[in-house]
Amino acid sequence: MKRLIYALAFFHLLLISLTIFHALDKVYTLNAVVEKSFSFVCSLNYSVWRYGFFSPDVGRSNEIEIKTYDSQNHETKFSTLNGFNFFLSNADLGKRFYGFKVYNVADTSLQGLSARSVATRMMNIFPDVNKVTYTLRSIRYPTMKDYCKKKPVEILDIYTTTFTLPYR
Amino acid sequence: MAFIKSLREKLHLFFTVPVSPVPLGVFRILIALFVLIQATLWYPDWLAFFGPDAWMQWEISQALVINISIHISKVAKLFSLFGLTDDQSVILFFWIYVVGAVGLLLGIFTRFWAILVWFCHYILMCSMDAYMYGVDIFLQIALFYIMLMPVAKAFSLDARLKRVNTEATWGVTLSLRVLQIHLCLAYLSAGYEKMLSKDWWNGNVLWRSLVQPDFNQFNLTWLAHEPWIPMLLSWFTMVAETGYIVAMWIPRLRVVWLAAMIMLHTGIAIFLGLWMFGLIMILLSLSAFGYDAYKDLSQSRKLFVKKSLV
Repeated sequence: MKRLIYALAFFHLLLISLTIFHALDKVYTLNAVVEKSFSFVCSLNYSVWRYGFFSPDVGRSNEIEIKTYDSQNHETKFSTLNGFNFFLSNADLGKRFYGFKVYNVADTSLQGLSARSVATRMMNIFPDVNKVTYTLRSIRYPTMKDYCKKKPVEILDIYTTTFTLPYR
Repeated sequence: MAFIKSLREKLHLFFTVPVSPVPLGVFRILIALFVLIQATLWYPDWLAFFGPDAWMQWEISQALVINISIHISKVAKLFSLFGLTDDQSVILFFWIYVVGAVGLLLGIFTRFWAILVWFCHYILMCSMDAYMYGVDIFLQIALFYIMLMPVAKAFSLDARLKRVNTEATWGVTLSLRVLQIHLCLAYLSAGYEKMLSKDWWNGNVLWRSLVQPDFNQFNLTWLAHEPWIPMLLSWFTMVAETGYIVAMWIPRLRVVWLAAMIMLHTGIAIFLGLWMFGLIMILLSLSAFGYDAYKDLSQSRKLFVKKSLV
């Protein structure tokens, strides 16, 4: 039993080591069964995970802007640039939308679904709203050098859509 | 040959010589407290993240995870057998998670609560794939270890009631070593990945992190005119993270390095607003190496007193 436990612990640490040094990158995408098995192990203990905090894509921020319209066509604007504070109770939960936005930019198939989900929630929160516009933007910050040369922040609309409830 | 033999012996001792179960008891308490703090923060917006009509509805969040994962909608389906609505089920799930964390904190029937809390957190992770970040990943890792490791041997009611053996065993040693090595590897990976990026060397990544609206807490755009500050801070981050795997095993350096890591994560918390992430990383380092650092400090103090007397 003792030997088995030591062997499992060794295997666990080996898996972590191989993952962080990219030794499993090709194995991971070998076939669906292998990929699913790794994903399953990862969901249990994150042994198949890379811990590169803030390494990729920092400086490339995103914004989700939601505009709601009531029956009088009165517009109210919400933006994640304001920390999504309009519905959250604390700033810590607001940080979770960073991942949400990155996910949405990376996975185009998710953009429509997320927009629908957010629009539904806004219509549930504000019963008088009958139209929601959802826009996902990419914001690229300049380098320090370029910032000193007054280079502007690059803002690009990635995805935009409108939902209307005609009978509300 | 002699070198290999000596290395084998050293490795054998490293993984088998019994060590105090105190760090594992501290680990359990710190992580259980962390779960409770995080649950308090979650509570007002629990349904907005996990309810059926959350910001990401169940149909979509379910589609993001592999089929065999357990999504919170499956829990709601189970609770519906007892007549609970989806919203009620999600709220009940929250309280089960909290009760589990309290049980873990007290250390009574520790293994049962540890499995329950880990399982609840696993379900949460499967239900909010798009919203999770480092804090959730490290909490899942910590809870996985707490579930398997002998964490009730110190500072627990189980130990007080003599329900568990409180002796230092090979299991304690192995557990502590796995936790320590995992942290070392995580930091090595974090530091090494950063070193591959040119923007980490010149400080641009740090500056962008500090000014972008997702993280900025203070107006620090002026740092662009003093680029040496973000650059030095970036170097400090890379050295602290990459050097962790070596420094944490050198007795005197360990105390300095642990203090540096606490400074690093406190900085992340203050300047990027990632309080919970900063906190869990500090707690993990304290759990893994805090006891050894404390012993180093006590030893240095004794030595200092002895020298003063002489």
